[in-house]
Amino acid sequence: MIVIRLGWRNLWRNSSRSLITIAGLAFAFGFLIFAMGFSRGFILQLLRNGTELMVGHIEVHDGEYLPDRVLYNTIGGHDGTDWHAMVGRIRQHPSVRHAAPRVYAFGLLSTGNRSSGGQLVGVLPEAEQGLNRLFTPDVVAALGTGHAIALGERLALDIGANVGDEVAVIAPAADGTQGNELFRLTAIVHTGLPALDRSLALLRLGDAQALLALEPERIHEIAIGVGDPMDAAALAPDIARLSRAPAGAVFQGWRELLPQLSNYVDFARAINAFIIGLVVLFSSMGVLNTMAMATLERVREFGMLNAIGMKPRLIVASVLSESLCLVGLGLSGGLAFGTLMMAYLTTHGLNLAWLTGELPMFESRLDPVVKGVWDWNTIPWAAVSLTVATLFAAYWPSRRATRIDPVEALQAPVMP
Amino acid sequence: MGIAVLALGVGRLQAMQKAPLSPDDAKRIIDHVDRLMRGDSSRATVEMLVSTPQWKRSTRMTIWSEKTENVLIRIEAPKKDAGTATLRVGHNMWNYLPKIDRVVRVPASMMMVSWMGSHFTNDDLVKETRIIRDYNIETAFQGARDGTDVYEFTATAKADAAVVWGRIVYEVRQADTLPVWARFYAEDGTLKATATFSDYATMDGRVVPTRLRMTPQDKPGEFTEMHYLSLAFNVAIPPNMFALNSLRGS
Amino acid sequence: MKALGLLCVLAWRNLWRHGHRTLLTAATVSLGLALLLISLGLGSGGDRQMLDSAVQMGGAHVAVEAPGYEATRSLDRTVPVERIPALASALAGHGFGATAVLPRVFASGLASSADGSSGVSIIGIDPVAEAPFSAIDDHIVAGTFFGGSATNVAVVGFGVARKLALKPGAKFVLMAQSGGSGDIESMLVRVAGVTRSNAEEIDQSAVFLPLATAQALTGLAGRVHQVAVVLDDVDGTHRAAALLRANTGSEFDVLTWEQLMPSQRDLLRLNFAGRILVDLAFLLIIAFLVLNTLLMSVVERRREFALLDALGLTPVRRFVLVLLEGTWIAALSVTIGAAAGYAGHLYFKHYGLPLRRWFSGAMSAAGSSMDPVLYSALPTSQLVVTTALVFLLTVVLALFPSWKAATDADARFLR
Repeated sequence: MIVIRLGWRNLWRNSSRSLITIAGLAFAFGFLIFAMGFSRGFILQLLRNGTELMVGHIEVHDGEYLPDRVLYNTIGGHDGTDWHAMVGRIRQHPSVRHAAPRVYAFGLLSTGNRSSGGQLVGVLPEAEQGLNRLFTPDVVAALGTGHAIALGERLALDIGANVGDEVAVIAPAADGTQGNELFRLTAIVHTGLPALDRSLALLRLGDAQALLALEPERIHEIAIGVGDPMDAAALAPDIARLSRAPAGAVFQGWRELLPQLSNYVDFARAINAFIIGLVVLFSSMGVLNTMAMATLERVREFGMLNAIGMKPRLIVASVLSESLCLVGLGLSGGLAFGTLMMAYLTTHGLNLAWLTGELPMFESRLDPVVKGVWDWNTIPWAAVSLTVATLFAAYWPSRRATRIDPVEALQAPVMP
Repeated sequence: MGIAVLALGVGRLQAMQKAPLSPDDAKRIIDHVDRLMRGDSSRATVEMLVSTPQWKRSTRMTIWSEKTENVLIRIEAPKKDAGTATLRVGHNMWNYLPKIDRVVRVPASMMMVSWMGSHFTNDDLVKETRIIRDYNIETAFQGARDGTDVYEFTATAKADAAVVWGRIVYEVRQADTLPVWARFYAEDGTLKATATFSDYATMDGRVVPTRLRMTPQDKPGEFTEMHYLSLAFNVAIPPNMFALNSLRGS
Repeated sequence: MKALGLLCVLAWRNLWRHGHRTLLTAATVSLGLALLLISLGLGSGGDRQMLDSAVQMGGAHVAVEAPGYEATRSLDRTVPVERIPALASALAGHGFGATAVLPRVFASGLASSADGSSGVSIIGIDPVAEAPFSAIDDHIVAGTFFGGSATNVAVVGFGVARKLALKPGAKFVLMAQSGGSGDIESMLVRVAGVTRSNAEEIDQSAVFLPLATAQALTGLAGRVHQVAVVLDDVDGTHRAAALLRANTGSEFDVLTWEQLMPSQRDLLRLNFAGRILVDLAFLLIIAFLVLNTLLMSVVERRREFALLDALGLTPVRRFVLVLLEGTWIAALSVTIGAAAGYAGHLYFKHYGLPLRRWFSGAMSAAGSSMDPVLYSALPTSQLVVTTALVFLLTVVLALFPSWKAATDADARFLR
């Protein structure tokens, strides 16, 4: 189309100006890619730390179970359910990566003269791997044999237990007796969340059920990990249906389980939108400037075009196409620039250790090294916004170009 | 939920009175009821029945006490729990669990947790209660109910007494000043728990209620009942009875 | 000198011969500076709010404690109360008149009522002294923050009140370990007020008592665990700490809020770094835009420079002329920008920026909670430095067209 070729050629009539503008746009877009990438990485890290420690992306409980966590409110009620099959069905959902059953109880942990209350969590270590970051291969191995227990580091400190020591565990059982058993401390875990480090006691599911006189069909929770945590709320009903869970079971996503984190994610996204808006504003101001100058210096030319009867529409189109080319090149440059920065950010991340240690926040925890993640949701929007804003910015000068009086124009000095 | 255990007491009030009671008499009666099952030392064999919607369990235990400081409770039956023991010395408390053969200290943070699955807390075993010290006693009623002459006393918590109840209402038989029931109210007037006494019998020369049932108000169908099979006062306590190493004992 | 004055006037007039361009450049720089200042104000305002919030919820800017207390939290490591007036006067003499010096006692215990029981953190405070500084006071949702002459009263966290079914006036029994004997003491306490601050730790487990009551409960008559210093400006922290260290020598530990609340320190550092990054990027974007404008001006004015050359204006003078134009634009822009930015800051300082859209419930980070309304706080130094930086940036950018003006005066442009 001649309009596009015109636009393109006009661009290079003043190459240094065009190049600077393109460079500015490229920098702006590249910066956005980087900022959005860092922000997404930051949020995802918080999200992962919040949902890959003990809370999952989605959790299944009996409707009565939360918030009081009464021992008897197992999934499927007091009779329990065939949770093996249920977990199997859940795993078959294409988006589900992990599903892990759990049993909870509040009990006493003691090394004799030093005792403390703690939260007992009975797990299948192999099922927790990948879902729960506490379950490194070492921890899985440590809980591999019967009567092994892993304690949060603060809890271990409080009762003076070291790896290899014997820990007595006592908890009220479901049949009214005092469940009690001896365990060996085989691992100490560090969650970075003070509340967990002070109270967490991990043991094998079977051992927990035996201690608490719970039948094998009775568990309290299934924690589910999906591919993209941001999809959790949307996936939950679907997974629920597929699982054929017993009546009374509820599926909740992390947004319900961790409301503070949920609030923060929304807040951060709002800040991002604001930053994008600002960058787009400034960039379009720059383009406005450029196009205004461009039309100004071609007064004579436009006048002539007017005089020979070129349709105003086409004049506008040629100016717009010039700006479109500007933006196109700017975005491409920005993409290249951004890709370079993201290549570093995604592999090495930004090490914030000089600023902070581990930081508990919003029901989760931030680690010093933050790796970027391509924000494919926001970047296209930013590109589109930039383009649209640019076209708007170029529209006014282009209209002005159509109204140039031919007589006046032809008298204007020739711009080299 | 903390419920004051009506510990074991001494003495017996002599004459039954027909005339209106003086405040002093009321106080004496309540103190008598409070310490009905207590002695300088005592030994009791008790069968404890706990009933909840999920299970019903009966355990037989022997309880030794010395003054108000020391208590040793050892479970005799059923076989599964036999040998489990709780020792309280002063403000400290330990449990012995025969299955794992370990003595475990009960930390302060677990004091409000239920003892052995019953409706009593660990704290109930530790606390020294003296009703007349912490409550003001008034006679609310004096007359016949269901064919028996009874007194009804209202014990209202004193302003600075460290007790959770607002008031405790007792019904006591006039004839032998034995308690019939006690109702525990929060300060706002809501009934929280009821203790009922029955099966009056003579043990070691005293007439005592041998059955005490504690029923929480907010959990219908649940209760804990203590049934005294034997009770002896001022018994000789073997030395080192209340020592940690006796917890494992025979 | 006279030539310089003439050049200044000429430069000013030149600006308005190309009014559109001048305005666009000035607008870009002003807007950029204004937004920069507003975002800096809101950012540091938010940081300060968070820190203040943490300090007001039982924290401190500086604290004097027995050696090793912070690490061990051992009940018997105390500071005698008699030392407090000396500490207060050590500060008052050096301009810290408006500072609060507050005694505090800490213990953990058990609270029980007819309806339930819960492990609690007991904090003994001087209610009258703390009230002006305390956020606990501001977040009372039922009852009052002490007041009256009763001694065995408490202000409890919302979560504690819920677990024990407590309302103002209700009673509960507080049990704690007594420092001296190790025995467990029980005490009857009545609820004076319930506080809901959205700081998790306070709401779920705090029980505030008058100091004497807490001391009686824990057997620590005449002693406290912490002498908390609350300043009216956090910037005075290190000076105050130095004064206190001089006063106490090695007898006690003097800790600043960075040591008392390391998570807060980290969070603030993180926010600060993030702000710097975004601001730098913005400055760069603005620089690009301004450079763009200036470059075009150079091209456009080739004829003019050639003419000036022909008329005898030396390259040096042409350089100075255009540089002065740039300086004028810089001055104009930063004046407008700083004024607009400051106005924006004042607006947000007074009305705040409501964040309720996202803060539907609680937001707690690093042990304190975030306010749903963000207030701007722009220290004068930041205002001045930022404005100066933008001014300098604009002038530096003007060097390019100035140079061009000096060198690029070819006679053929005169045609």
